[in-house]
Amino acid sequence: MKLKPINLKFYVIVVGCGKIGLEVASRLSQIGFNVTIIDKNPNIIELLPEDYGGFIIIGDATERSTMEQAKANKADLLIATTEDDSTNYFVSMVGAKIFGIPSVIALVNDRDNVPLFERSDIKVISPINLAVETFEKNILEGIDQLVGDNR
Amino acid sequence: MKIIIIGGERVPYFLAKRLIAQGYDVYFVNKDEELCEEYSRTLNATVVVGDGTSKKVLDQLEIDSKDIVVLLTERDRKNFFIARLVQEYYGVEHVVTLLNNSENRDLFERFGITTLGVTDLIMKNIEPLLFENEIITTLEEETKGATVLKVTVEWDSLIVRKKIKDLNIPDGMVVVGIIRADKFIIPRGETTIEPGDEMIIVCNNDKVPEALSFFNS
Repeated sequence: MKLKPINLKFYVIVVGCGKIGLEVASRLSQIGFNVTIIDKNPNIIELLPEDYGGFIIIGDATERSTMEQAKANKADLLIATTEDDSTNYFVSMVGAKIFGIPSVIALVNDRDNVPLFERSDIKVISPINLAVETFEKNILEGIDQLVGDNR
Repeated sequence: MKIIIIGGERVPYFLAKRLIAQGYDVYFVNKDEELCEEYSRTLNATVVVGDGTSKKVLDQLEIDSKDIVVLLTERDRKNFFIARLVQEYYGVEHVVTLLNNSENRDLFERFGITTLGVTDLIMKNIEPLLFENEIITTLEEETKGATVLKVTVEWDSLIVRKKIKDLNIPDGMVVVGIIRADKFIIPRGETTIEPGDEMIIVCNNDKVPEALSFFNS
């Protein structure tokens, strides 16, 4: 079997450097992807781990100049992780439609907004849905076991 | 059919006043409680206090696809988000939005959202003042996208005593006439520019700032 060589040029832009964005960006960078973080807050630089090997742009990702600075037209993936769904949606759409980024993933904070993101071809990470699904899965597995034990 | 106005402060008030006078049903959504109180005191409209980007708030309005939604928040991302929410969730066909940052126009247009480019409008009006020149006319009807400018050449201008052909005039603009001492000169490459000349320039709309700065330098 031929192995596909891992494309190390894979370029990811992470918008928002909160708890989730920070973790995602750090891990992707450790794996060896090219990563650029965009965040408004200059203090994030201190939060990043020492081995973070990517770029940081302090700026507003909803402005085109910031996206241009991040070379959004060269990105393979955009990840929007801010706490504000309208920002995540706007940045995702500008990335996909204007800069032609082939893949976009967004954090969706309010569950009601999930269908809008999905219908706009944005991959959705919904913390509430994830938590509920995980709980459900765990509980069902537990019940299976109980039922099995009683048999 | 109802008209739903989301965000804004004074514009929604006066807009609603006129629409109500014409017999339309007006609905407001605004975060500002005091403002909402004022709206409901003085206008015969339905007022919902809340964040227009929240579906739960929008659901209270029983929006129909034939309703008209007017977005007046100060953030393009919010206007865009609400516009897309009402399009996708209620099938609204007509959305009009305030456009704060002109560079976002393309994104709104892609989804058939009508934009009101306030920044552009203000720029268009102050540009001639900034350059102390006159934009004679924007030929929107006849030749879409062209502007006719009149620029007075100052004594210390860099283009004075130069021939038109030596100016290296940028793309997208052309000198079509020179008014000199009550005469109208049709310029050729050999025509030399004199101080006090009034140059008539035709350029693409997006070249206006460049043309003004070039001929004023």
